[in-house]
Amino acid sequence: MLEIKDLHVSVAGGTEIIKGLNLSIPAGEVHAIMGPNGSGKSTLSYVLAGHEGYEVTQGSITYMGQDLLAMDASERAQSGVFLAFQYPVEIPGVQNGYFLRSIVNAQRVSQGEPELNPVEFMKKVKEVLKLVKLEPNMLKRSVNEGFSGGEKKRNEVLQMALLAPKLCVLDETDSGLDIDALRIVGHGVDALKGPERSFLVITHYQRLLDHVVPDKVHVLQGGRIIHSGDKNLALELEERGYEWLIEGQS
Amino acid sequence: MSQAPLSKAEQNPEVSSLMAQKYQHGFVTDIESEVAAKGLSEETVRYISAKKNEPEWLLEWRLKSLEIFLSMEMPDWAQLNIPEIDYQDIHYFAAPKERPKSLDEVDPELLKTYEKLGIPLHERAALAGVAVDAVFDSVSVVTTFREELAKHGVIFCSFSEAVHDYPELIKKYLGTIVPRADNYFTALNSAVFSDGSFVYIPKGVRCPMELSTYFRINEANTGQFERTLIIADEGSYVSYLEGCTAPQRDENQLHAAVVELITHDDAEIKYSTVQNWYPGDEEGKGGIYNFVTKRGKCQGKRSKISWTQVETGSAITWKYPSCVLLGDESIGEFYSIALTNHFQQADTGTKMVHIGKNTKSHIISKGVSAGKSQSTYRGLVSVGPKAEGARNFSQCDSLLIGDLCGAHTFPYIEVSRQDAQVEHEATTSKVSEDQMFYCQQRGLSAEEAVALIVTGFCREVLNELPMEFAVEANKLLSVSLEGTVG
Amino acid sequence: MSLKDVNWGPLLTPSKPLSTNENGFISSERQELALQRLSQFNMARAEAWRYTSLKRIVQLKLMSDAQQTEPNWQLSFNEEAIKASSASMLLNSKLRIISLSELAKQNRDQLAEQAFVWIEQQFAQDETMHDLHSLHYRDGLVVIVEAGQDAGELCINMKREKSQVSAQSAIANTLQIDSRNIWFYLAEDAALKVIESFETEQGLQNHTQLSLTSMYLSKNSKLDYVRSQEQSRGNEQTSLHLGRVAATVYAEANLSLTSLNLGSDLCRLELDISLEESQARADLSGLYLGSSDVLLDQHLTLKHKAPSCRSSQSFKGALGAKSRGVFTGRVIVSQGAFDTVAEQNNPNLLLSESAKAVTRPQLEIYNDDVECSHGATVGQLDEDALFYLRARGLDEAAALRALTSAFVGEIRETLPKQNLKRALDSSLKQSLGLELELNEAEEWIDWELISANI
Repeated sequence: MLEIKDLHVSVAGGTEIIKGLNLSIPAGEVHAIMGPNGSGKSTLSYVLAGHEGYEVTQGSITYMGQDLLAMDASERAQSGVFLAFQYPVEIPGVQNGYFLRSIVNAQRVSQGEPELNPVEFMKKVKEVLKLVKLEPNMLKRSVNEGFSGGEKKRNEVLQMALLAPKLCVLDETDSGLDIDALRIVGHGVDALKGPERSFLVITHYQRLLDHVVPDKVHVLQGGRIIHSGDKNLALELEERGYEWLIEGQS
Repeated sequence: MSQAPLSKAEQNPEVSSLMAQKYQHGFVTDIESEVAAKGLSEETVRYISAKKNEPEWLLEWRLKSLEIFLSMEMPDWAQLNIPEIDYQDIHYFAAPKERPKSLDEVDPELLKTYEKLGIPLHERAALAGVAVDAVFDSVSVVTTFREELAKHGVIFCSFSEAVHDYPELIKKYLGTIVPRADNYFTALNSAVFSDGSFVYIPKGVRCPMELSTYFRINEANTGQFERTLIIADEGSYVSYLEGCTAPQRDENQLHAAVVELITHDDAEIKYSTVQNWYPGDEEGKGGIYNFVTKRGKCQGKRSKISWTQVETGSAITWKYPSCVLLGDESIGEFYSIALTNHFQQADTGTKMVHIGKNTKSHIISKGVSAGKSQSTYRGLVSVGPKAEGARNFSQCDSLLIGDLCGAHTFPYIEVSRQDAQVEHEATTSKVSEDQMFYCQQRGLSAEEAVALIVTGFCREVLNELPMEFAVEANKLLSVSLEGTVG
Repeated sequence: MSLKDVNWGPLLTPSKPLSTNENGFISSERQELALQRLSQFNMARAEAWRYTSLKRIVQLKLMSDAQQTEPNWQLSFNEEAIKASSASMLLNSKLRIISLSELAKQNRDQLAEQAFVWIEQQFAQDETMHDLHSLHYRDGLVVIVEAGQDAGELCINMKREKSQVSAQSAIANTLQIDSRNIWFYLAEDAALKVIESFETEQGLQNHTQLSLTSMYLSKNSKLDYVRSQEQSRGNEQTSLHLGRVAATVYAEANLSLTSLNLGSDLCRLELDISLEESQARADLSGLYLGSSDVLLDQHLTLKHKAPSCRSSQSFKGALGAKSRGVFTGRVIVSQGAFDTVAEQNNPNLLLSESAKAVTRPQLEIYNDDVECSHGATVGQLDEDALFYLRARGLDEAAALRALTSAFVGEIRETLPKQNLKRALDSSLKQSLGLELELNEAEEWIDWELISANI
């Protein structure tokens, strides 16, 4: 599904943040990336989504056999790469319902399918709203504007469910959530797991991984993966922190 | 609910008694001075030029400036009520009679003056590592630390000396950043300027100490017209401080200075001012008219000019320290606190002129008005058609203390580039009653609470000042606020 | 060329000879005074005219009075057309609409007398637009709403069609002036909705609209006023709109004003709002769209004169091609206007490389019991929002369209009539090449209703 080889990334015209990262995620697997602040976790998610503020100076990313770096942000999204933002952007004046229908239809058109009319769309969206416990009236509000932290993250999971992506990148989707919201988000993500869908879960904490159990856990430090293991590694990190690993490095 | 506009302050006797605030630099120094006859004419200009033994080209330049001045009209666009100024009733030149050769020869009276001002030249300079140039009325009396600076190739001297010692630099830069015809007061200054400071930082030199000039108007009926020129050559850096005081007098006195800064590639000038000219008494009598033109040209790529000002003095302030961002990726900054009390008026702000590519500017202005004073922020941000990728952010906040003062915010934003990002935000409010109550409940007096809150309000700007000045500025804010609350 | 010609050009020639004094409001003395003041007015030194000059029309001559024809007035009240020719056009228990000349002549009851005195005072003001207007005075309209009545909705449209200009006058170098003045007088507790619009047919010759709209909001009255303006522009002709909207708002009265400025070659709109008594409120919003090389100058003054008044201003500029947009908004809070809350916002969107925006949000405050803020921005669309949309699969053009639509959408939503929305949409399409994403059908989707029915 995703093959990252010797990836080097700099902030456009500036410092190098990711320094030779290798990662392979087969279809259907859930991989977690953990690591201390400033290790390059969010940079990785932006690079996968195609943010122009980051420059790939070396290495390759292959997604479903294609060169991901050759595609722009919208092409990546249309071909099934989904980033759940750590800080979902507020867009005043753009109605959420309109926005959701537009992104669904943009994907359908790119796949040669007809656009959904409002009623067809509503049928589709109604199921998903239940999944993340949001009310239909949230469709009338502006995208993310005035949403609580939990509502924003649930809106991200809602979009993920609507677009049915192949690769889901969750950038600290658990941050800023209380226990109930975390359960809803975790349950939503868990419901989307399937043999053809891979997850890359970026997180600081074990708690999201209780809901979305990872096949592999990687520790990112200084722009490189310094250690990998199974789901028990996350528990160990929760207990012991990162320092023992970092010390082992140097 | 509709009630007559009664003044809360006037009704409160406690407030009225507190309104009597003392200016601490109001003494007069008894020093023998040489003073030019009153009046503005070709003779006056020739007299000043001759006194300074100036070259012919400079005299010609002055005379041309006078001609320009006489053809111009006093600007009237500011939010100021300026009484008519009789330009013939002013002495355009005053100098302590004996010019000292070194610090040891400085008239003890004069040294005492500086002590009173809080500038003990010896100790202060030595302790703080600050090189000081002191301008007394029209002439520079002493410059400290010159030798130390010379080791690094830094030139720091009075403007008059520079005219003789570095004529090629003066000729090359004088009037190129602030043209003499720029406005009414620059024309006047260019005709009759007496002295000021000159700084040159050579290529690649980071000036080893902060440079400082103190200006003082001592003589009565005297105008002060100094000129400062700072040149920062490629890759150099200098931090320059300027302080101003004047004696307490009933008449208004005119101060019309010009400051020119230029930075070449990768150079940076940080220019800080604490302006505490005599503001007039609580009835609005007397005080300095402070009509100053300050401008910096970021000529070189990646160069930076940063203005920080704390304006607490003067009866009337008319001042817009500006940056012309010519070099690609150059940066202009303006941090300002303007505090007015009693009958003071201030119309101050900045101009950020974006010309080069990827230029940035940042404006933080904090206006505090008390008593019956009027304080205005007036600032221009202009993005020219070639200023690709220009960025500006401006934040202008005003705080009102009492219901008889005024606070005004007049930004001018002119953008000719699609890819520019310009943001301006402003707020006007009073000292929050919640904050006051909280402070008072913790044992502070109303006055202390206001001073604390005002200092907090100004924090972003105070942080930009060098340590030396920040302490002084803090004290000045508290003193200037005395008698503002009841 | 003399100073006065540079200032006002043909506008300084009175439309009718000074000696005629055929109406009750503008005397020959008033015209004389106006002429004198305007001749001495130095536009180049006036801060208020810093970004606007009338040099596009100074070479033109005024069309002779004989050549002038009346534009087409269309009035409707609660959806019913009103015949515009009669002197007393409408009279019912809620409101009356009469011409100024009729008001001057008739026996006036107390309310009409109050309106009459107010209008006289307004015309007597030393004010530039009133001066210009008195040189080109044509009869006007007075709308009086009776105390305690909610009168409903009044639409007033002035349309200038090409065919109305006589062939002879369609020669180059002459300027036609349409001048109009409308007065709204709301008695205590009265309410009214007004939609005032200006249109011209495409391809009209040199044409000036001179418009004066004044409002008097008595205690606890309420006026919703929408103003839409668009003139034919370009093609070797010049269109000029000089408009002034003045409102005096008394205790607890409520003014809501929306201005849609869809373009003239040169449009200057002055808004002058005064909150006279406590708890008065004014909410002002506007949108100006710049295309080709037009200059749109919004000049707004809002005075808080009494305690506990509220005001808000939100004016947005979307500027394309070589257009220039100017916004000057001054909030003045007087001494004694305690407990004032005022906010002001002017975001500008530059949609082309050659467009230019000037913004001057101004606060002038003489009292400490206030909460005032203003903000202004000039720039492009939010980059984070663009990335977010693209990361969800919208291509760049679609993402740009969606965000631009959102930018104008806020004002669009508040427009009370479908025809105004359509005018805005077509103007967006014509002048900015922007097809609104939010089409008519989309906007009316009731998601909850659909959700409940499936």
